[in-house]
Amino acid sequence: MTAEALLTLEVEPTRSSVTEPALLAVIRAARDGDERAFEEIMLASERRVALLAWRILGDAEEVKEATQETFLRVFRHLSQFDDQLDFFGWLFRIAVNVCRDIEKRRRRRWIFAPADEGMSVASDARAADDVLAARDDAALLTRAIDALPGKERLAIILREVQELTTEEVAAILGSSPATVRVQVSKARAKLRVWIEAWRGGAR
Amino acid sequence: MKMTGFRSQQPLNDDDFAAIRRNVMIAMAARNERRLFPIVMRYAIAAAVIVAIGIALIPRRAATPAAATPAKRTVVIASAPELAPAPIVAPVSSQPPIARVAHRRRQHRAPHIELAHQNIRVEFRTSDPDVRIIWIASQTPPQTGGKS
Repeated sequence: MTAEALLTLEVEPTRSSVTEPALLAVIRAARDGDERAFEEIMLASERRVALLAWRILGDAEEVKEATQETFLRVFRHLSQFDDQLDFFGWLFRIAVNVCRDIEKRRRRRWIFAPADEGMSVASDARAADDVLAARDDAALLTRAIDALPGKERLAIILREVQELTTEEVAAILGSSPATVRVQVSKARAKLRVWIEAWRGGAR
Repeated sequence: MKMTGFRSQQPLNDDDFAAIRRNVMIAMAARNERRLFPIVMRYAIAAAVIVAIGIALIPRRAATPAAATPAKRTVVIASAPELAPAPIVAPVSSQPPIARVAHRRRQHRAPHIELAHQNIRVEFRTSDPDVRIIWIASQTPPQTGGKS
């Protein structure tokens, strides 16, 4: 399947919108101060959080930081979690916010970093990516998604890569489902153009 | 390959996840301690305030009787010289003057208690050598009175 075909792939919403009773019992125990229960929550969700952070941030060290910070925020705000909602939706919302904060910090770092250093790192990374992109569709897609504007990138990662429903993505991003649909549509169009241009340039 | 293939490989291994869990648990424990600290401090401050009030009040209570005693003493002592020079004639009692006795005893005993049980005896001589007016006054405040 080509990269263009990937962009038109529709994902079936199969996720439940409520928390499973077993997980809910563990969450309640953790809320009452049971540290062992909180550790169980981490064991059940850490890989999904880390993968989401990896897709957004693309840096292993930042993923560690984001995962840790996400669970600390979960611990701080667990009392505010509504039992009627999906826990993973709530957890992903926190994780996305943490990743956004890390990205903001990263941008600030780039602004204040010496110009020569930033350029050399960027050019090295780009050269390495170019090699990968030329031979791998996945790497090409990665580069294309990373080149999207922030909101569109998050929308397409959550909707197409994480396979969340439009409503879930809207809840995580704090926007309406209509907005998410527009953002995903724009992102797809940009990806298509970007990939076609890349393919055309490579030939 | 699907679009889900975008960064589909988990970047962290089991050791990384274990380290993350450990760090989170440590941070949680530290946060719980920090949350308990203000509560402990609140109780400690309340206890310190109570102790301070107690320390401030106890010496005052102890000082109150000590301060009241000289006042009573003054009243008692003052009454003796007032009564003594009142008569035209000097007292003929064989006892030494009451004020002196009171003063002397005050040095050794609790004067308030001693003076409360003493009587003043004043003897008036008239023009008739056979007639004498003897006035005995009690020092106890409610039992004032005389006898002739």
